[in-house]
Amino acid sequence: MIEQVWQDFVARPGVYIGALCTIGLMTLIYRENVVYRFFEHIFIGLAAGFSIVALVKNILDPFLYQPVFKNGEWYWTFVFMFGLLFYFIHSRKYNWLSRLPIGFLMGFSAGQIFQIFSNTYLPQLSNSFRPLYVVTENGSFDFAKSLNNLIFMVVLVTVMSYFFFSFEQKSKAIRNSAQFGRWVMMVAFGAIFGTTIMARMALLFDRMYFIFSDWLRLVQ
Amino acid sequence: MTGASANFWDKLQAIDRRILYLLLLIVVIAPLFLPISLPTVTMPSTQRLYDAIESIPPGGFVIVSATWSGGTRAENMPQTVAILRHAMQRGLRVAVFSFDVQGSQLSLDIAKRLAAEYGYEYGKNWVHWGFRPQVGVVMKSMVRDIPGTFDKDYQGKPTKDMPMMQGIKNIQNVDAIVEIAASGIYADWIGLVVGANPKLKFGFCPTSVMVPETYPYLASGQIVGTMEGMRGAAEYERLLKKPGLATVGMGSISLAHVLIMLLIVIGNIGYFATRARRSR
Repeated sequence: MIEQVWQDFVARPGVYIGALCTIGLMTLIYRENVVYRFFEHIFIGLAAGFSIVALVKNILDPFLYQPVFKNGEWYWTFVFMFGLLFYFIHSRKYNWLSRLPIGFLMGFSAGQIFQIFSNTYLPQLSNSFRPLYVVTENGSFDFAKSLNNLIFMVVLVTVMSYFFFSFEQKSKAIRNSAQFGRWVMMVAFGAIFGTTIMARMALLFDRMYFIFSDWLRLVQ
Repeated sequence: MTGASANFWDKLQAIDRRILYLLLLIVVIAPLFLPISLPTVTMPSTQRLYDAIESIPPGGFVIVSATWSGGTRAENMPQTVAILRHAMQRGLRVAVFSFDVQGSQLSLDIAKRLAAEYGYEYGKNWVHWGFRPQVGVVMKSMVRDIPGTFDKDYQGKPTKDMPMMQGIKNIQNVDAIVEIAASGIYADWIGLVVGANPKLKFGFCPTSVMVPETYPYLASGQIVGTMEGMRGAAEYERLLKKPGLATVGMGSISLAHVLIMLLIVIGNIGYFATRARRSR
């Protein structure tokens, strides 16, 4: 039996180590313990190591080493040197040099944000103007769509009224509207919480499936 | 009310978390051994994504971006499998890449497996562009010049002479982009790419946590359809008539939800009973 397990371990060590790590990390649900701490540190260390390897293998090698030193595209070194100017932020005398790449990136980001803002929110703004009296293709009154649009408008206006901070909400109508907007948002937050639970359950299922299917092979 | 019954109501609010975790483990594991078949209702958002891919004629060009890592494998992996399977079933040209290093490798493994299943030839029917850093730069660049942006595949081989890249110059030549992600990257796609081609179909496959924030984009049509977490993937598998991991998982997840709702009800009964006792 032990020999069989050992042979299986040698054949697929990655699965065994993954299963041990999973169980080790899940011991936390019993109580805080040394085993959990050990695997937690391994996990953090691996993640840090992985990102360094990824940086070298997937960014520095294909975008700097290969083009410059293998293909002779020497002009890319200017980009690299421009990036290195960031490090002058540690120098008291020459820290003004670091402002060059920072300014470049800020300008680039600002330009992008203008475009992203208009492309993202303008279609949504125009979509907010919905008819409250909807007519179907054959000319009859579409009650369901009209009701849907009415609910949408009420929710939109009441939630927006909650965020009117530019004046004191003395009017009873505004106060009630803001109160209703707050309740509507509570419903939305409840929905978000529900989906969060769903995501966590999916992660738990994935780990259990890994243990019982990939590792123990009890489930097909 | 006696002391014993008062104690009982208090205990309902303070059940040992280890008992709760044990119950949760049982309801998650049990359906693995005793599969339960639950009726699946396809959400309109899933149906819309399916219809969008279905409407692309064979030979159309689809880009699948797999920006996820091992941490969200449970939800994003079945989504990736489902969308690639659909594209390959339809005979579409598929280009896969990722803004995440792990996602690049994970999506490559999935694409290779499905390509073998559907007889897809690398370079002719599908390609993997590998990992790409800098989201904004890549997106801005691919709007104008796709072969220039993705000049090499994951192995560093040139892509411009690949048969599947013929006729692909810029975003105007792309039929659909599907982003499978555990982050808000869809906003970058919408802001920088989607508006550049009014005919482009942009689908998004988020984790369950992110689903509510995508609804305004679905309503405005900026996102053509979504696959909402593992549930969305299970619905998509059903539409494809190819049950997979998501379909199996939905039994466990549904039971877990029932358990959580029961526990919330029990906790609330205990709370109200204790409050009524104190007010007397």
